[in-house]
Amino acid sequence: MKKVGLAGLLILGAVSCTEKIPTSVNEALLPDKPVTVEIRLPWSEFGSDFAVYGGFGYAFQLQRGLLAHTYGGTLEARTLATFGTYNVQPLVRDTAGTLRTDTAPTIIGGRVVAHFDTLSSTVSGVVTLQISAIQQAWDPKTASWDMAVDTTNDRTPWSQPGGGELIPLTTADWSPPDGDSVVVEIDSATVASLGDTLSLTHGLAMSVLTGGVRLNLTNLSLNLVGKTKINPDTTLYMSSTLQYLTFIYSPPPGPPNGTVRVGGVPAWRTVFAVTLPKQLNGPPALCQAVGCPMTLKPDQVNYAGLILRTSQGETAFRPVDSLGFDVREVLSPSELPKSPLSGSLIADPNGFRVPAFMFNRPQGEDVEIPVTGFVQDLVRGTTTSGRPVSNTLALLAPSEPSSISFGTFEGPGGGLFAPMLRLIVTAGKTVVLP
Amino acid sequence: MKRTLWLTVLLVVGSAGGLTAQSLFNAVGIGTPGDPIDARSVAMGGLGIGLLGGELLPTDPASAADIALPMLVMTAQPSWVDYRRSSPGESGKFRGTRFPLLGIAYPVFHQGVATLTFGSFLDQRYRANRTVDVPLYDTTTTARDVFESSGGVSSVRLGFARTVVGGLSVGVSYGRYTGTVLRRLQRVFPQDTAFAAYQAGGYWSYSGQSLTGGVAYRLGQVARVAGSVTVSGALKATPSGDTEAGGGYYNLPLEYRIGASAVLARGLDFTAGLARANWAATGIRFKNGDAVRSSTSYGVGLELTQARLLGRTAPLRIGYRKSDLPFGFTGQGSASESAISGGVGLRFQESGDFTLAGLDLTLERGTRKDDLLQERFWRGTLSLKVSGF
Repeated sequence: MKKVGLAGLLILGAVSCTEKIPTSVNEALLPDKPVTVEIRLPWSEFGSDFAVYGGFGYAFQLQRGLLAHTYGGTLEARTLATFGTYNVQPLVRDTAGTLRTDTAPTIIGGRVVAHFDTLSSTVSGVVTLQISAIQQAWDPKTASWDMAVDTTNDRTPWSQPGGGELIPLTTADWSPPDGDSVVVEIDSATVASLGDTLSLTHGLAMSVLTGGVRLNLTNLSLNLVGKTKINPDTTLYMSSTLQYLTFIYSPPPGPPNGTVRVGGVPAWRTVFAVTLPKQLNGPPALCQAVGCPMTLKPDQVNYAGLILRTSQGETAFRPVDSLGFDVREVLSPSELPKSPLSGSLIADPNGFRVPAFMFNRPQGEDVEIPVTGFVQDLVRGTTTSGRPVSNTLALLAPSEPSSISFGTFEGPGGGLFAPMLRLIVTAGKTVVLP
Repeated sequence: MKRTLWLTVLLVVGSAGGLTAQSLFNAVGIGTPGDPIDARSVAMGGLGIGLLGGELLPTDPASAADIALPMLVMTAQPSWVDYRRSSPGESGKFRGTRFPLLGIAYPVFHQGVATLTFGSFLDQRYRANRTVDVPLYDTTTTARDVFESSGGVSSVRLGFARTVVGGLSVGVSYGRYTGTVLRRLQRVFPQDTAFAAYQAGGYWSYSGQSLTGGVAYRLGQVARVAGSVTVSGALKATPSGDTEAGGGYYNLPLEYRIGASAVLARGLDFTAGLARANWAATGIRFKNGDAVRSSTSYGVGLELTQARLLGRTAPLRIGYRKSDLPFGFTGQGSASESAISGGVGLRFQESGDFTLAGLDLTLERGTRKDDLLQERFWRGTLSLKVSGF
């Protein structure tokens, strides 16, 4: 009897697992066709309260260096770095073959190794690099081309712009085809000064002497060369810790002059308010299908994209690699530029990527950043989680700062090239019972 | 054993496939009617009335009077369908399983037999697609519209049957229509557009009542005649709170069934049945032009009751059935379903005249068609019957 029940269970279970719903491609079995239309709203019909804010973040946060000399005709940039105390105690094998710790090796010299991002650097041919010693107290977190220290309580300019009176130590040539790094030998006195972390003036500056180049420096390391009393025939090679890596540059970019500007160091943000029409009165296909005026509903918005027209912007800050763009809601517009922002509206944590070439074409290119979720929320009045939605958007870099380059787009005064809002809307008659 | 049984019951009740049929005719009117009958009835003409012996059939409430022991019936019905449609031409296949009948009968204090059944009534499950060109600002993209109707109407009936005098028995059941339907239209765009799908639709719950009365007369062990009438109130479809569309109200037909069986020779039974439902009198009008007509069904069957298999009783059955479908795609054509059937009953455990555990298997080959659509199907029906628990 038990077997009967079990057999029934298995049979009934098996036959219930093979569903394939009756499906037809017959038009007559579907309700009336909904209509899908594309609507492009010019800036005047959706945008307002346009503003561009700068000053977000510091160069040291990038943890990268930058070298430039008359790049784009104007840009000068130097990399500044400091290293930690040389607390090196190498294990050395003595003449008897026993491993011993040398607590005070003698430093006889060093090598600075600079690594470059050759893809995002603008360089052709051999370039000459120079390493100099910094002679003035400075703050790696706030230093700029003009200011050595730029904190709330202390604003001290360099004795001369660009890192003060630098003492050139050595030069080296670098040819990008030979590799992505260059080694610069320095003497023991320089090594000693670089390791003196108690001195406010310690640190080195690296600059490029060849004109028209811009080099992105990804890392700077200092390798120490030393001798040990334990075994005088042994040469020691030790590494030190990079403490701060930052860069200073001049001149700073000019005012945005009504353009959309996003990115840079310190970073720029562009904010504006979005106001959607309460009712749609077109296009004719929409009115014909569902009647006009039509009140827009969130689930009728299939897509919304912000169309921006690229502009070349200032040559020195034009992107040489793809740039990422993020879009966030400005949660308290009255507190701008310090308003808190919502989470990103862009799914990719690296932001919406725009290739560099799009910023290099004189006629510009259209870039469309999807903002579907935001527009649906705006139509609804709240986010899907019930939070009241802000109608103000911020365009910004995915992480600030992320590059000295910034993206420039035509602003509201750009005429035909001003920002546009592209909407794909589908509406249909109510689905009813037969 | 009881635990296994209840597991089986739970599987049937909780199955996602639930009470669904497998026909594109589900798309017309308010769906395809489906009878809550078991594999033996299907094999013998498929009208579920007038069979010899006690059966738990909502269509023949008086037949429960001959049930001597508590009984549980579960039925599953898988089918495989090929369809062809003209204007525009299309063809395809689909398959599915429904569970047309789940029931329990229990003799009560020697006064009669109480019954509780859960059976199919209307199947509304289908899907339809179309491809549409969507003109955009400077290009055209292609989208796909998918319409899905998912759900149907079932009937839960509480009944009682008893032998009145001699071979005369009567039965009555009170039923509640229950069920839901989700009707949803989606427009899906190609992935490279990043357009979110558009979706519109609604969700409705069905409710309604029915009363079935039946009478049967058994002439010893050689013949039985039975008839039943089902009176239904209106079927009401109530929209959920977030459904934009309104509800629905459908008059349901008066349904008559009559059937008879007789022993033609030793071990050979014959049965025939006739059913009619006056859907045309319900006054249902569909906006899309779907036709409504009254349906008449008839079926005949033979049963070799003393056939044996592996030393156990294994009745063999054949039958033929033809039914009108009340809803068709056009007003001109008459939609109908016909099928020939063959089946076997496997008795796993018997005690005297009683079958304590058995499985009935039936296979049908049939056609559903109207002027536009033709479906040819293979359909299996499996009924598990357990008594005396």
